[in-house]
Amino acid sequence: MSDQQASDAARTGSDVPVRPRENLRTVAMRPVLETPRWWWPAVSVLGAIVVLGIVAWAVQVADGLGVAGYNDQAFWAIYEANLVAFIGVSYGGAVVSAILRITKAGWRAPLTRIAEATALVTLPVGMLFIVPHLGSPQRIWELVWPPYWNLSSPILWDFFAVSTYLLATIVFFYLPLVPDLPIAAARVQGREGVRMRACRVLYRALGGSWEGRASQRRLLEGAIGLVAIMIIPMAVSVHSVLSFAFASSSRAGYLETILPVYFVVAALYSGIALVVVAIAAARRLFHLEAYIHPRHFVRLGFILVALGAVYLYLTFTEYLVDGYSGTADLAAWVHQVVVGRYWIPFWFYFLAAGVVPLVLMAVRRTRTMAGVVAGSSLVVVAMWVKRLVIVIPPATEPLVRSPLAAGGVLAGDWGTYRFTWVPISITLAATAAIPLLLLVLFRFVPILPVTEMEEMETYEEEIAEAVEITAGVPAPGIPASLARGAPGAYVNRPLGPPASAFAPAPPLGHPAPGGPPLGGPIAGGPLDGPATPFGGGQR
Amino acid sequence: MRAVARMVGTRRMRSLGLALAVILGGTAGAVVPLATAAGASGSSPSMTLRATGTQARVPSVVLVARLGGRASSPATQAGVSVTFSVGVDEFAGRPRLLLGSGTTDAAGVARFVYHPTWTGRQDFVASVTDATGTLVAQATTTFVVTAAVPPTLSAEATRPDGTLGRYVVGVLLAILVLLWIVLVTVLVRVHRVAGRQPRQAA
Amino acid sequence: MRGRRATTGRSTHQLGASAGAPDVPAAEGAPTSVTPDEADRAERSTPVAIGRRGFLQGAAIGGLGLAALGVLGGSLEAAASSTSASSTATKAARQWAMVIDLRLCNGCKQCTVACQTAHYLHPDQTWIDVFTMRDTAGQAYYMPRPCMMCEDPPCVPVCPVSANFRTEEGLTLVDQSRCIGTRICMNACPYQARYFNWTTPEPAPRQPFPQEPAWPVPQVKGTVGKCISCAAMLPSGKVPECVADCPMGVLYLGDLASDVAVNGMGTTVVLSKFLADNDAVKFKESYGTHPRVYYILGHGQDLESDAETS
Repeated sequence: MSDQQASDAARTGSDVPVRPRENLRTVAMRPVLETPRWWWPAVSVLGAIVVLGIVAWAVQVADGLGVAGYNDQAFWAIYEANLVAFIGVSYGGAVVSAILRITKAGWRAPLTRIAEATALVTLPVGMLFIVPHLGSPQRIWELVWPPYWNLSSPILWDFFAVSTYLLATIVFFYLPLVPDLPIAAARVQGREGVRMRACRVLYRALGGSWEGRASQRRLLEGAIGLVAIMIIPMAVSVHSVLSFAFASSSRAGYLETILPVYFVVAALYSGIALVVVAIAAARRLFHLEAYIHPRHFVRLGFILVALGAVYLYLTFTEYLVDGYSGTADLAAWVHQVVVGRYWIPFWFYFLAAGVVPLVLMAVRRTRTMAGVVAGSSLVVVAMWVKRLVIVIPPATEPLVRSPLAAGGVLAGDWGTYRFTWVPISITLAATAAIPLLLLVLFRFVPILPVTEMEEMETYEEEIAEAVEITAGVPAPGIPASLARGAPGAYVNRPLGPPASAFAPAPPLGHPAPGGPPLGGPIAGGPLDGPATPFGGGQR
Repeated sequence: MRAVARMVGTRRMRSLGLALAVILGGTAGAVVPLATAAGASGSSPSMTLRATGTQARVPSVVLVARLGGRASSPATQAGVSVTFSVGVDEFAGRPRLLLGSGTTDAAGVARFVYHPTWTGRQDFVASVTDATGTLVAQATTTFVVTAAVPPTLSAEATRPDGTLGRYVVGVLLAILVLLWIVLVTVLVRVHRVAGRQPRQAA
Repeated sequence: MRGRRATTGRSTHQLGASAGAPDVPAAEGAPTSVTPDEADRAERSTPVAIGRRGFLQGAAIGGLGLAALGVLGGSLEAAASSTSASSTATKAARQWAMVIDLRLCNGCKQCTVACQTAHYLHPDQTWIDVFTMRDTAGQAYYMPRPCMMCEDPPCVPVCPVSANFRTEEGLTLVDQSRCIGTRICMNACPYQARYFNWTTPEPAPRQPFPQEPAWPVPQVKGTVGKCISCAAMLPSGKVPECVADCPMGVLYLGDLASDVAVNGMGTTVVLSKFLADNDAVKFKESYGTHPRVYYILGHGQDLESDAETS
């Protein structure tokens, strides 16, 4: 191990004190190096579901979109809702990684890789819904054939925006990965197997000459900062343009100026929720408890409810204003959604993604990891349902003055739309594809951003030492329920004044699962304001 | 200028001794004398034709129908309502478009000023019916209309934001291209520094 | 924004092309002089072919420019050239329109049947649909609804692959060999006049016209279909199937350029006079679509507020 450490030291550069961090690196590389017993069964089941979706799509191609329950009234339904929902959940990566990076929220570090990976896999899956959405998928090439382009079309700009966002997501996944690649390469060194060889080729091709030199690091940091800033307006633009596809009509419920904001907030909201779920699953499955702590979830939970509250507010204003106006079609649409035929899904959204997360975070007993994960799971599902409520009612609404409230030509619970096995299978397949792709992805890349965490750790260590020297205060007691078995790295923002931030250092660099409940302040509020000195256990 | 007036007689018409001629004159701004010949058929009375025109500021065709004939007296020729119509070529079967009607004066002349709305060869018909609606006299003529009243209904809708949209699209495209250039540049630069792997082969 | 109209500088330019140099065949002895008054009148009525379509053209050519050059300048230049092209284009001799005299409609749906028979459509593809409406007095009446052939069609600019277009004669058509089936045009149309081939279309025997936008028979699976006003039949003077088959003479095919309209019974009217005398209205005019279908309403009827009852 000594030569290993030496090579690590060489890579991290000379200006940073080098300490052995075997534990972090081992944990981060464990999914790559070891195959858990559940891996193959899980991949098989997920793969089978994906195959089912592909079969369903083949049936749809053969028989036409009619088998998906569409008709001339319900011309847009589940695929369009899925397109919005799946691209939406990719926003979690942008938030956790980019926004928290720009705001220098140090605690985000262990979460970024998983969040970025979630974005990386959900975005292409969401984009793939263009294919079943199209009536003539064999002509999809026309979208990239400039002579056919109609630049006044929102859909074309959807395509542009999502493609650009995909590129940015790939770049944003790749850049922070670069310094980890030599570390990972050292770990797969000398191992046998096709996958190990593939890993070596991959690491070499993508980051083989990374040495952690100061010039390299400057370049990389600049690039990450630039892309982190770029990706936020791009994320906003993607869902704005998606909403334009709906809003570029005269339909009540689509023609809304609130729609772009509504879509963007919904995407951020569901994105954070999915990141929470993904992180919880990864933490459990890959044993990341030492690095991803309950308080991470609680902090994400606060972001979650903040976005959820904004979304609830937007929903309220939308329906209030439209319903209040008394304009026949708007009033009828609001009536249908709120108390009419769509009331069950609407109120399901209201409870599951509106009220429950707020309550979970408001009540101290449920403001826990379990509470946040449960709430996020609900939000992911409920926001998908909400997208159905956004997409389907205005589409199925008859436009030649029909008394919607009295029944009109709408028939069932979803208007004229009928859910059939085909779109449900395809939706399930896409849902299964996300964990499947994540499982595969983490067979090749370290699940934790090793370099970033190590740098953060070093920084915090310095701060902690400074605290120790200047104050000489021992660690305050941490309520066990809030700081279950975790050392205190990555907890506080480096922005805070050093003296207020940290308890005396735990044995940094040697965090052990189930170690002593040491550490910095725990989540006392959204993003943990810098107010509580010495650990802030006293709220 | 060619104008042909043709007398079409029916038995009833003949018995009434009515004759009808259509005289066409035109057009915009200038009086163009038009002389056409009308042929009488059978026992129909003789026809007289007169060229007329107008000083109208819009393109006009003056249709002049003259009732005449042996059996008719000035008393019976006056006050007869003559309807004028034109065959519409653009529709199959050339349906007749009713233009309007004129009443004959004491000389048996009915005038109608028609402002054509399309150009080209047009077939005009003048006809007289009796109280029961039965056709008693009819005459047709062909005339080439060279100027037509501009249509009033087919103004194309315009959008004030059409031009603006073009610039918006241009700006957005520029932003898009810029984004791609920046992203690809970042990718390439970082990869060039980090990814190229000459020495550290495993 | 919607519904507002503006005269741009281009309109006068175009006027010069069409009114100043008339391209009508000059007949001997029939001098044509255009007085200032007429010129003024022509200015008001001469079309300006921009609007959504112009935007579309500019945009599409702008896209070409981008692809070819990858620079902004190219696309804007191309957009500008398309502008001048559209302003010098002469207007077609025919400007098709339709008049629907609701006073006569008895709701027999013969028009729908004739249309579906002629174009080999599924029964749910009611390119001309007949709605049963109820007026303020509670009286039922019937409202046929073909494609409105809007002058500023909302469906055209939203298509990502430019499969929708508007002809010089004012017909909005779909290129079914181009359509990829995003259905965003169905979203954009305020009249629900667009239909989709959700399943395999009805087979059709050999047609007198090739499968083209003006005669999309048979339909193509996975593409949008809509009323074409029987575009392929119009040049030969045949009125659309629905007009020809209406036993009540409700439907008129009109030509705004020559200001005439005819119904299936051969009744021919001076279009502008017919519309003015009968207080004709357009459907959903407030949407800024400028439909080319005129409705003549019966007493107490109002398309904007009357409820559909079936």
